[in-house]
Amino acid sequence: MKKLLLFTVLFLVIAYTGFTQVVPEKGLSQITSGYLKKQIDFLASDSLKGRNTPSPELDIAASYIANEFSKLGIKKVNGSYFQEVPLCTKNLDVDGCGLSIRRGSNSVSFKLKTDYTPFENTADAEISGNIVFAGYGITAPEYNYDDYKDLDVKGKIVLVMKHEPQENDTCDVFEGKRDTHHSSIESKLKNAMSRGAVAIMVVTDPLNHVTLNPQGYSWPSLSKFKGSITPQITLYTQEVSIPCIQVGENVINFLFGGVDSLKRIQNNIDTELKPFSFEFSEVSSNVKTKLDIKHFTAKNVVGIIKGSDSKLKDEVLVIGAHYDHVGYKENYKPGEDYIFNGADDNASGTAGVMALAKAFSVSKKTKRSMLFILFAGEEKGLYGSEYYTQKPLIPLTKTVAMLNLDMISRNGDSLQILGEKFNPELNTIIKEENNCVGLNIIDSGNEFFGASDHANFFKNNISSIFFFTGTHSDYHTVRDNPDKVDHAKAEKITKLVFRTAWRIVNENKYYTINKP
Amino acid sequence: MKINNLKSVLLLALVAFSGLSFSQEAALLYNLAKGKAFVQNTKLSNTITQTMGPNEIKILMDISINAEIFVENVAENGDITVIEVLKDMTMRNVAMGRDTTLKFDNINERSRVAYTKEGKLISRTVLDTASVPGLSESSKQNWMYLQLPGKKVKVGEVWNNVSNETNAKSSANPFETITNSDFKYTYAGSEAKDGKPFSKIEFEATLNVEGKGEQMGMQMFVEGTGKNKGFGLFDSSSSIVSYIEFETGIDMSISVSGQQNMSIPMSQSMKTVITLQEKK
Repeated sequence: MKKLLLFTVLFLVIAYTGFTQVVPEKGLSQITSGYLKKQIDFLASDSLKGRNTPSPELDIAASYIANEFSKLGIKKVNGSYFQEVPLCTKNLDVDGCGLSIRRGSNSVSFKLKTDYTPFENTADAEISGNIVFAGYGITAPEYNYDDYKDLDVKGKIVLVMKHEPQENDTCDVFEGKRDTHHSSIESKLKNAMSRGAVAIMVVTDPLNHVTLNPQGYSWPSLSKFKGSITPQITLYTQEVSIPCIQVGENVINFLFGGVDSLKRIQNNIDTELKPFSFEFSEVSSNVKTKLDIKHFTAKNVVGIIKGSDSKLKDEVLVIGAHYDHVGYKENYKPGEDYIFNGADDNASGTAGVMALAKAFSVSKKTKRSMLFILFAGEEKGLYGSEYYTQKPLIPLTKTVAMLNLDMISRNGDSLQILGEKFNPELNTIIKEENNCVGLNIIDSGNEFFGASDHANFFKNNISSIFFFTGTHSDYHTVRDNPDKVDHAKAEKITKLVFRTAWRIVNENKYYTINKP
Repeated sequence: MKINNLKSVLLLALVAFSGLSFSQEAALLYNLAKGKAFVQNTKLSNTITQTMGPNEIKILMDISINAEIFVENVAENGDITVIEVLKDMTMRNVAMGRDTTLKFDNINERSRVAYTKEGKLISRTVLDTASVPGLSESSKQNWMYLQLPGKKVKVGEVWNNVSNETNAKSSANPFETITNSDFKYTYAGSEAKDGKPFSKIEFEATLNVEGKGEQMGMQMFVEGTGKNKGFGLFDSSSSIVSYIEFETGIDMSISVSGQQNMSIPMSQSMKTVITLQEKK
């Protein structure tokens, strides 16, 4: 009888732990305010000068985190704690650019900035070819619309209009006044390239817009303030591109004989929703866009705890945070605080990930593996995570979920779970685990869902959740200092992430996502 | 009989001719009397497109502003001083999947504004502390949007106005900007609207804006160009332009220097309708 009772109790205990994944206290006990404070105080100290991407101070932070991983026994990934993120600045080499168009024997050279301006995604190349007008440059089978229908643009320069048909019609087939992805320059460029075009010229659609001249002067070398503006850092990609320029009214006049002629064509397209594409007779062009590219690198810091389950160990949960911030003021008065220390943004999340690594390192083996990533370049445009998702260290097909900690130490006891609507099952786990933590989870509205590194994972169809305590008046100011951090709150949030992560890496489940 | 007929024809022709000559010429100036009051509504639909790397972000904005204008003084030389009272404002903003409407009622912020009789702005002084920071600046709209020739003009007659306006930094605008505008006005003749005759003024303008600012230790720069095209209807009975409709396109770039450096190209397509009625 006693044996039966013992077996019954044992069975119940096993069943309970098997179904509810009891979170190990040993791991939880590693997540302390003191540990978080120590990391935040260092990462957000003046000595790291705001951890700009790229900077020597960011590299110091990277080494510090890697060193901590090493002490905790967190393993390297592919032999390193670092993933180099290639960055660059791109400026336009004004002297190396040109646009000329020839009709018969009449050749005209156009002026940079007033008649044409290269887009940011232009290639460093010179191209010659005949010009083909391809309407809005859109192929959208879902709307039964194709400007390239029966059109051969291979080896040719395509000329397309900005935006999409019936742009200002609230009832238009292209989602009313809201632009679809087809209206972006990037989509038009990719579509033209996929059809073998060698360059693309874009004109503003004249029916809906008053100004037709090239838009924007994103190139510092074209700016009136060129001595004061430096090119911004971007992710360096070796993506093949073609010359991609915006052309203005003078080019329209040369090609169409007047803006009204293009307006009539646009009107025909908008009215009939059929292509009016054609090749200009005896018209060819030479397009030259030259770039001045400078290369840099920054480091994503990575560490892994391998899983133990024979089937699930190849799958991974990514727990991440960005460890960069926005640097320091270059113009400041003597005695003025000039360093953006970024204690909440995002030394707090970084410390959280380090504490999670520590907690999991002392816990029993999990079924799935866990990849900890501290991203660089988030503040510049989510570049660290964008690069990681382009060049993942563990295949994205094996990545079951991503938990992102960004700004977790301010604003009372409230917590926003961004992405909860898009990741219903993960949201359920978080809510269940929060019963043991007691944070005040408030409606996020998902306004900032696209504003941190998890967004790049979500784009790649990976369930992703963003733990966030909201903005505040010190956000991106020199006042985001370690003394403003609520360490106890950061501890509670980190414990909630630990509990959530524990469930994910120990249950044989996959999580659905609802794309917005 | 024949002579009488001829006289009738000549008389009719004379009447017709005088009518024609009347419609082909109009005295266009703001001739206001002290104590008059007007109600103004401005409706603005703005589409802002920001380019961030390969992505374009589109922001749709609808703004409606109601104001009242009281003519405080008319000087001997015709200069007009008015008190403009910003009454209420509604702003609807559609961006990144969010549709937000902000409504400000009973604002009642006053500004004293002086114009020449042609409508050229002389001075503007905000009299009340803004209840919402930046509201007065953001809703600031020259009541006399159109500059008149200040004299009689014939159909097809053209007049220009070139202005350089400096806008100081404010809570709503981190830049000190200089806007150069070159307006070309054409008297297009008389036009009836809602059964009432008006003198139609067509206009086109080129705009150039550049400015510098500083925020949180970062230098910021803005530069851009644009165009304005539209018309106004001048009501000679009340001596005001009671209806203005125009489209504006502006392409600009905002650049930030220093460690947070970035350049954001931005274009705006706006349609503005301003109505002005005498308050009885």
